[in-house]
Amino acid sequence: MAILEINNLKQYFYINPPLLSRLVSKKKPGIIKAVDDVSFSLAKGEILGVAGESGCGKSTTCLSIAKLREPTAGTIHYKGKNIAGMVKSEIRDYRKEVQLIFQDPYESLNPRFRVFDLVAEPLRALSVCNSKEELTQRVTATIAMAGLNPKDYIKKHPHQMSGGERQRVGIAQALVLEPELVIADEPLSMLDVSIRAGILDLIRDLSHRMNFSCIYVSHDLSILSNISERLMIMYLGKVVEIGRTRDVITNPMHPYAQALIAAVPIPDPAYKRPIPDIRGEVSQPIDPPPGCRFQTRCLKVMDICRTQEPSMMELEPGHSVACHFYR
Amino acid sequence: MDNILNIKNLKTHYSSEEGIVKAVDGVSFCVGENQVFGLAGESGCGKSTLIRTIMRLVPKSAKVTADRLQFKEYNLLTVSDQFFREKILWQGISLVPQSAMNALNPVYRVGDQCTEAILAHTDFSKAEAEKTVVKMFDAVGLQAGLMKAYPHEFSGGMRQRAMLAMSLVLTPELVVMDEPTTGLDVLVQERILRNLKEIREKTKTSAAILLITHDISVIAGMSDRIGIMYAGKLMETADAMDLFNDPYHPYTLGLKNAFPSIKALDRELISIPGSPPNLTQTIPGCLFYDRCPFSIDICRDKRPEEIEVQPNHFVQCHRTEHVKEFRKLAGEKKTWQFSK
Amino acid sequence: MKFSIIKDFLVAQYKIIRGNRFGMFGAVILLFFGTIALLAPYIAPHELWESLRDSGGKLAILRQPSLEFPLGTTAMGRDILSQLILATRTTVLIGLTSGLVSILIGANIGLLAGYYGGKLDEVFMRFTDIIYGMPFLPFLIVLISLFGRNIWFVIIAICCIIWRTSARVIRAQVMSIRQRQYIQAAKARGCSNFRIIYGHIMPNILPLLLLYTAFNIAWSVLAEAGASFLGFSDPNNITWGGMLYNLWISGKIRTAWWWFATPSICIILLVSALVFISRAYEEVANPRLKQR
Repeated sequence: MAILEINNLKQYFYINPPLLSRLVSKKKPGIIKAVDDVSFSLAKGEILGVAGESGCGKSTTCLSIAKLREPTAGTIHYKGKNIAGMVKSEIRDYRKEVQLIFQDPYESLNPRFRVFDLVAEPLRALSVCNSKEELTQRVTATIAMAGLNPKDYIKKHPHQMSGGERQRVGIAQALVLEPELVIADEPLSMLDVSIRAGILDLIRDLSHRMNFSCIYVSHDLSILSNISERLMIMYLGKVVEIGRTRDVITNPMHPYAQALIAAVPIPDPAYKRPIPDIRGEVSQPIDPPPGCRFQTRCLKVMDICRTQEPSMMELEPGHSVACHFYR
Repeated sequence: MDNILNIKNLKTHYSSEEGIVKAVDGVSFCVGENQVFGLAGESGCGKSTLIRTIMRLVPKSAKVTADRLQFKEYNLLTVSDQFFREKILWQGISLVPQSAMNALNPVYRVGDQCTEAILAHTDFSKAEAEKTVVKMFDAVGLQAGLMKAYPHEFSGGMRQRAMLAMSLVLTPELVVMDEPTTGLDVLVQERILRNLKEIREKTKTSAAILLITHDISVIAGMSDRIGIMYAGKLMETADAMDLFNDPYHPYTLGLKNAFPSIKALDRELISIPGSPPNLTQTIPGCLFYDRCPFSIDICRDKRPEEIEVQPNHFVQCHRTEHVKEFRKLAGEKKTWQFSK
Repeated sequence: MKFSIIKDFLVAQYKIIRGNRFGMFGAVILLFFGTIALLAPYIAPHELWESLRDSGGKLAILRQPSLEFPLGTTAMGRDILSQLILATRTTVLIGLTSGLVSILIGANIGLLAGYYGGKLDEVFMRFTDIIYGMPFLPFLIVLISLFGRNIWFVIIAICCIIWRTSARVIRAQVMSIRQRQYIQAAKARGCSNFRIIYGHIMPNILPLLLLYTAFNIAWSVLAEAGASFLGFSDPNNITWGGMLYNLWISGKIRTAWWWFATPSICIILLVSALVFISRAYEEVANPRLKQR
């Protein structure tokens, strides 16, 4: 049963340069199509990895799902219910079930709060607990679950903690509400490599223990290959490939996915990295040309790619690609 | 092979509110001609301070001492600031800084900034300087037309490549690269590293490279020789293949298991417990003691000396004779689950 | 948890002020004036408007400072020391009230405009611009000529004008904090706008707020002194500025130096003390200013 269904999600940003800019530097009004017709679903208890480079729209998709941004078009169904047009009380209930883990542990914690108050804040803001004892008990239990000894940490301020410890507090903040869907936006990229594994394991273990579904967004395919069960690759606001992680990594089908996977560095000096089959620079999703978004960089580009956008085709069970090459 | 850079027992100590921070504490290594030396380490290990010490970018209040800090025949400890600036910087040693976005002045065109750098250090004419820049831009894959563009019109990857071009333009003998690919997308990263290799082969520059990064995968692919830094010290130094095939130091063993790889989808990731020590404290023993699963009393009390365990393979550890057993144990998760 | 937050706050303020030489000096002076203001009716040796006679029975007019009259007397034979003590209370009261009310107005306008942006920000900022265009004294003159001389009009006039600078500055700070990830995180965790503004953003602008509180009180004292000196004050409640006004209309300003010096020194000391305290907060708000 799918806990989350995204259909034709669009997030456009309209640029309207002021009159003077238009006259002097000839800036044209344009549309940034950050997310353009994205559809996917998430099963209960599943960890879905979302990969892609900067500008591909993965963070914007997350913000739309977390209801921090209203989509331009498309629908997001959570547990069968459309999340658009919710009233305040419904949004509060939604936030109890859908939470975010942020990327930058140095920026995502309010520097004035102590750890106890940081983790208690979601409970207080949403008036979840009925008594002070219940609140304290729940907060200390969550801090312990995140791998920090409550006795040592509840009185600390963020600046007294390392990056790894801060990120654990961030995770505790997200999980104290016992959500059913957690969106993790590159939680490891600002941490030292020797502690990343610990945080990754924490997220994986807690996902199984608390049975929440997870959307894990990252540009690091090595990490995604380790934690996610299914993998979705995005390019310039579109989904280009989706399937079981093992399938996508060992047998990528979309030319972009192939290039991306060829480019991933391997910690082995004997390994000779193949040259990715790709050319050009990644462009901005402003006023994209008609047809496939990847046409300017694809080495297998054909005429149809310049006129028609490819739709998702299931080539193997559970493994779909959006590419004309596989017609 | 001659050594371009010869460092022995380099120490950089900063004074701060909490005491003296021993950011770099007795580092020794050499970079040979045409060699790529990768310096790996996490945040706080001292690699950035090391570079800044070499490039004379540390504040005047920092105390720098060394038995030897030699670049070719110049003693970098004693040359005057003026000499360093005019003769060594850009022509002898050049720096590709981290976050190149901040290194380029946003109000000048990129091409102008590059030609200015050349004109300041040589007696080229403006035309000659521009020609050199165009040649270098071409080598890194940037079109000549981009010289007229401003930094904000470049993407992150393009800016990094422009900085790379700038650093090579005066054919220096040593290029120091500080986290050259951090913050860049993986395709861009791959392109830049490939460009680097191609440039060195194509232009036959005997430029040695000192590459600093926390990303072991990048270092593995690029370096001839690798040094692992931790808390201001070089824990292990060896040729790249030796380091990966025969690692000795427990920190190296831990790091190997901390990196996920798409070629090893089933391997368990293991993280090293604890965090790096406070560099203001005077620690008598090994700095890795708290986090090492194999440490014993002598590790806490006595600083390990650097020993050569194999030809050209140096380690700072008391217990190198047990390394075979350690290598096996380090691959198991429960070895690293302890607290001191 | 609430008490611990207040306790943390007070301890933090003490540390901030203690860490700065100017701040300490300012705090000592403030404490001094505050104590006098509190105890004024009990420590003033004479009545406010009492014309005194000296030991010889003569009316003690314009006496220089002596043992009998430590700070001298006025042209009407009144004891300047007593006047000073009693005026301290009024001046401090006006300064505190106007300062606190104006920072309340300024902070809230800054917080709301900075957080919500858009139309609300436009409206608030244009209103602030209008207030920027308003000169203080003419405004006070108009109020007084319409409604008469009363201490409350002085307070109201000050409050209406002084908030404008703090509103601008606080709004700028709030706009930059609003972009920080921990505010977005607070929203994702379910915090309402009100909770975010007052629970999450405000604690982070506290140094700036306190800095401007000190400033506003200082400006209020100065504004009141200026207005009183020109005669726009309550004739029944004397302030330091009012003392100077009495001096002025007596015509003895060039000769009665004791009458002139004491209120002026007090004004200078009080305003300086407040500015010094704001310097201590400025270092916290902008750590790069720390003297090391």
